[in-house]
Amino acid sequence: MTKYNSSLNVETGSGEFSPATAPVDSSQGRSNIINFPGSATVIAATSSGSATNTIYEPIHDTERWRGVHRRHLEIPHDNFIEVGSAIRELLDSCFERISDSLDETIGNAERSNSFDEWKDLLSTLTRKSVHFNSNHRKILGSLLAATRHLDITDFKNGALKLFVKATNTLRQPRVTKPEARQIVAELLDSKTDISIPMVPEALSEEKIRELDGMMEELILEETKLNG
Amino acid sequence: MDEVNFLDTDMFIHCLSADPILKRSAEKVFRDNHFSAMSAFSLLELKGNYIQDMELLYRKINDSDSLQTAFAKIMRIGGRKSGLMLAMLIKWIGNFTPHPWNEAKKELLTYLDSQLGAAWGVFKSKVDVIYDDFKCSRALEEPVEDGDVWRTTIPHCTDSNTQCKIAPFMDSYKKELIALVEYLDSLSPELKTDELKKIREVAVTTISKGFPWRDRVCRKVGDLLIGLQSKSGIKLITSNYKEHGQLHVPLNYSVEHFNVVANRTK
Repeated sequence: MTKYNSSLNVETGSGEFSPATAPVDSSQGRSNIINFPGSATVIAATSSGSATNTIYEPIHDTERWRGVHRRHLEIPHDNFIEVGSAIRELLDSCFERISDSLDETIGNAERSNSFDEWKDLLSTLTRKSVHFNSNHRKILGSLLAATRHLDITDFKNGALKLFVKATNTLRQPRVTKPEARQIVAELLDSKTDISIPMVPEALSEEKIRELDGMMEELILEETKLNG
Repeated sequence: MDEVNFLDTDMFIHCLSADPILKRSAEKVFRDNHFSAMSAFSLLELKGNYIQDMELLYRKINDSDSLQTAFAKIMRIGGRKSGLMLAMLIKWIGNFTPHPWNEAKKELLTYLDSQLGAAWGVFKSKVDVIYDDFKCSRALEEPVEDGDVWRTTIPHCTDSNTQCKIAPFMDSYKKELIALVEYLDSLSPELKTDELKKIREVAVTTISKGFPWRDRVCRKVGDLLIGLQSKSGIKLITSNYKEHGQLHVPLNYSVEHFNVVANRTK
């Protein structure tokens, strides 16, 4: 009967194994032991030179042991998202302001100010955030669309709580598609209007002329600034 | 479905109007007409008439290195309508500056991401029920986002990508279609719009050979499909009276006309 050997003759407490430093002749009485395919480096060899068995010994050398682990921690730098301290501060301020606007222990005027400041900070984020992905942008754009031209008094506490939750989600370095979907769905469920009027069908001629003029001015401004 | 009020595709569009009076009037219609329904086919029309335009803006802004270039590309491909959409967005933002462009671009894309991501849900949330009796395959295809790319294509209907029931649906209305052809033939030429002419042509084919559902035929006769679906409800509310004002007579459904001119800022 053929016996199978996982080729791990000695196990250490840490689960690390090291090939034996000196070849061990283990051919006698063990020649029918076959290593599992894919097992670790074979160092120990029989006198005939054929690599049939491997004998491992524990790593006693602490530095080498660390080296083994360090290799596993070499994660590419790109896997991390850096959130600059200024943006981090901006996001924290945003969260603070919208949280304050829900705080019933402070006066209405102050709550209203906090709400307006929160909207201003959100607007700043649309241009300054460098790490935002499209899921961040969906939440951010929806919050701004929901609150444009509106005051705190236009919203009930339930909606404000939702704004707090959404702002908190924006603080995450990475926002997933389901997270963004969930926030948008909750905004819609709370009957918050997050659509931006962009349908030109019913525009009057006067309004169209006004929009044409505005675009002309903006392009002129851009051309001047770009030289 | 007898207790349902159908809302036509254009009513959803009016809810997105920049004219506050028109927008409020349209929204009031939605509020006042529960239990409300939209045809699943309207989702497809909204995708083709609105969401695809937004996707074009997104793509061109994302690919351009200045507002001027973006605007020129948008006008060249999307025409005046798309150019006005960009202008409306900028006007809505207020205090917008195109400089520096990398920041301005981010700002514009933020709003477009939010609108593209939410549009499908916004339309569906406006009514109590989506009516999908002919199981339109295209109406199931939401805008898809793949990284920084939005895909809002509407493929031609083929044997391999379509499992809808439009052919048997149309077959079940053969009697109405015969009446429709007779009625349209009796109309004076000035009342026959291009869409009514197309509807007549498709109705004739359906009566003799069955509904020609391949390619994009449904999109050319959307008013006919929505009109037939509305027979299941109390009425269809629409601002498109040119077509529905004629179609409802032989097809026998009720129409409530939402008058855009009367409901907009003077």
